Amino acid sequence: MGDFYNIKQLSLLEKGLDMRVARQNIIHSNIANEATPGYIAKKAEFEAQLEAALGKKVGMKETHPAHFPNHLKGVAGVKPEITASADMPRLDGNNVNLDRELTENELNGAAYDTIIAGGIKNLDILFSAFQEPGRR
Amino acid sequence: MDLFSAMKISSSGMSLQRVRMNTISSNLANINTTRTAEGGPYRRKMAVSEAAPVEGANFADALDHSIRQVKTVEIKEDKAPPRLVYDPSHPDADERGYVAMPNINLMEEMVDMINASRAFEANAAAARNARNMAQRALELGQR
Repeated sequence: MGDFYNIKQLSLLEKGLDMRVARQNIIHSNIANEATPGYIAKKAEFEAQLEAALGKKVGMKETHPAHFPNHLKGVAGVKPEITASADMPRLDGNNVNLDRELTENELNGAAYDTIIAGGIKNLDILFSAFQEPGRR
Repeated sequence: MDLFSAMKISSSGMSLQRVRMNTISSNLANINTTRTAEGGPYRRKMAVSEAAPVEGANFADALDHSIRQVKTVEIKEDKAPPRLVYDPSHPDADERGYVAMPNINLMEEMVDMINASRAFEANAAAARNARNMAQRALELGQR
């Protein structure tokens, strides 16, 4: 109720996909530079920021349950925090851990798929509302 | 940052590993070459790479210092001195009977080859994952 077009979930899912793509880019960058002298591996963190933004209300007050939810503005502003890996560099000044990057690669792909599955379910529910009763 | 920039980064990584594999093949093929156009024995070649901004990326990505592709800068020669082998009957032996052989260590080349091959596979795995992600995203539109 009050969530017009499931917009709350859909924009959260969209943000989730964006964050996963950003992390994927960082993983690709680390893997491509696994032997570049002096390259320091990077990490993209967003889970904590997204969680914090979900609970936060910004902008106008919601005075009616049917208003567009305000906290989404907080979610839309979430950006991945890119930090340098603190691992000890090797002799050539590089600290990419290829095994970890490959694991992250698989995990990120699986998480992306999960979000897509959630999005498909969401759209199915939305479209089912447009169907003629009794038809599928 | 989108999945296309991710693919570009992986393809830069794969092309670097191909260059590395080519230099290794060249080194292995010439492990006993004592004559070259520049004179003297063949010298071990190695690919030098550096991290560079993503090519053809949009403006925001070009400014973004967090993602980097890898660029093959040049093919350099190993500075190690040639390996001297005592073989007086060799046509290129000096007056003391020593032949200057290429500064190539077979074991080192084999290890480098495995390394390049694994790194290529890692880049390919990442590229495959990005492709799958893009394909999944299309499924949203099929509803």
